[in-house]
Amino acid sequence: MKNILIILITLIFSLPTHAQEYKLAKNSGKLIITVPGAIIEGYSGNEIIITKTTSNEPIVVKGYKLKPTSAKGNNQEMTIKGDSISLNSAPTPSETKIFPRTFDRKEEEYRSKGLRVISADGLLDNTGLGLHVNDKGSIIEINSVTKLNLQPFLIRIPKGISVSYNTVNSYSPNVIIRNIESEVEVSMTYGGVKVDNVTGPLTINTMYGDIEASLASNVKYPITLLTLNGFIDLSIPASTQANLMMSSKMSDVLVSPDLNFVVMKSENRAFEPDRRAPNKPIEGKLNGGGGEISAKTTNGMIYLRNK
Amino acid sequence: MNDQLEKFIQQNRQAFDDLEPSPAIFERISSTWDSPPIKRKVTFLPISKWSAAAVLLSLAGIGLYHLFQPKLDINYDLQTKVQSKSENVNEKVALEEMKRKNDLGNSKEKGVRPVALRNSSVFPNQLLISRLSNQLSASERFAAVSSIAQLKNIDYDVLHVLVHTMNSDPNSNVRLAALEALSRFAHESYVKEQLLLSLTNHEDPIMQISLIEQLTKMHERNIIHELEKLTVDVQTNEEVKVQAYASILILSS
Repeated sequence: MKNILIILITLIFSLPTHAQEYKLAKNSGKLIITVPGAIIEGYSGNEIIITKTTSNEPIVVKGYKLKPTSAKGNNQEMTIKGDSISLNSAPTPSETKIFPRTFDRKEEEYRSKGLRVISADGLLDNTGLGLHVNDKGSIIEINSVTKLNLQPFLIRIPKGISVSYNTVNSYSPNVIIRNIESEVEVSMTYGGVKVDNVTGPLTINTMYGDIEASLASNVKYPITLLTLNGFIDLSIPASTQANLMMSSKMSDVLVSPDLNFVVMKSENRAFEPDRRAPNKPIEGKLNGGGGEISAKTTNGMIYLRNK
Repeated sequence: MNDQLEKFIQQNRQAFDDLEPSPAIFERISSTWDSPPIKRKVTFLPISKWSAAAVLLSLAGIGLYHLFQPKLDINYDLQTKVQSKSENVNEKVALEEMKRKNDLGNSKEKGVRPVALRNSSVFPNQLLISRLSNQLSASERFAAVSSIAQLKNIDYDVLHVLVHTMNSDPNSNVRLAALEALSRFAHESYVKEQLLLSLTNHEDPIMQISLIEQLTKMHERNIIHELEKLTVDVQTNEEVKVQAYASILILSS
């Protein structure tokens, strides 16, 4: 009897927790995401899968840690605990857990029966996750309808779909984009961007956040990273052939000595800056030159690493 | 009894008929005979004229509408093509005027290579311009701007498109690249004008900073007033204010 009880209890606890999901079958096209807080991952499959876990459970993203941004903006930090990652928002040194936001779930469920969320754009939740997905054939738009989603979404997309992430008008935490072989475009105001194992082409700009990019071996050009206040940390494979243009107005550009990077002298440059200007962009060729990589920041540093 | 009474009345009808109406009554009746009966004015004819006219007009209108409607559809493309061609011609004329006024040979900036400008639009330029309007891919537009920046000779058409990109491309990277490409031709008055205009219109901090930097390099003192406005405005980004202050200092000296 006791054994049966123990077995039953372990079975109950080992049941997978319910994770809400939305799937859309799509193999190619452009995905435009305006959802604040997303982790976008490429995978080998045929569907766009959007996952949101229940508010008491963190999203599990293995083996990953994002540094807090140095800018005035968002101070979000993800910490690894064993195999899972929980998201803490730490505006002060003491750990203040801001999400998941706790509210009286029963009261909210009771009062919202029969009603539906609506956004200022007139969009309704058609996914069950507080998101509105609009499939226009070659363009798929994902917009957020509810303001109560503080947990980021995990969006898995098939190879062949290009990503455009735009949260210029909203306060969004850092975005993580990884394992993508098609074009990635990111425009943010407050958050930072971490781009991992991507080939490019990349068109990333953020105002107050940092950009961390790590390129895969078959780099596709152009790659342009632009930020106002943050730093840019770019890791490229040592064998990449590219023309680099890096410019940090107020800080330095640091390059790994393992890279075969040669700075071009002023005669070879495509344009002639004023000699009185104290800051000139650093133009150079990596392994003889090739496609175009451009990194520009006003206040932060630029780090160029060997991957 | 009744029959006898009836018989008697019938036989002596004339005697019974002795009452006559007064002559006054007859007068009254006869007076109405003299004046002719009042004829109603016949307005039927003008109304019918107007209604006929209205019906004809409406029929004509419907007929014309149907006559012209398919024509409009068919000719629409031609018309727009014609319109755009004429627009291009007007712009070209205006730009060529500006070109004639410009001194191509002299360059006031030391160390800047004067760039020759051609009139005709060459096929590769058209290709670049079309790449610049690729809505789906920001990196395509960026790559197109970079290619333009590498050109040794440039068209006014292309300059025009670059200005448009700098002002209204949805992506910051592309806008900035367009500004950097235009900076090579900053000695052209058309470009200078456009940069000045852009400064007043842009609200994107990265663009504002780069514009101020570029205009400062060109020693444009006209912008001092605009910069002062920026420093006072609460909405301006801190970094832009810093750049504005620095530029005011440089330009005022």
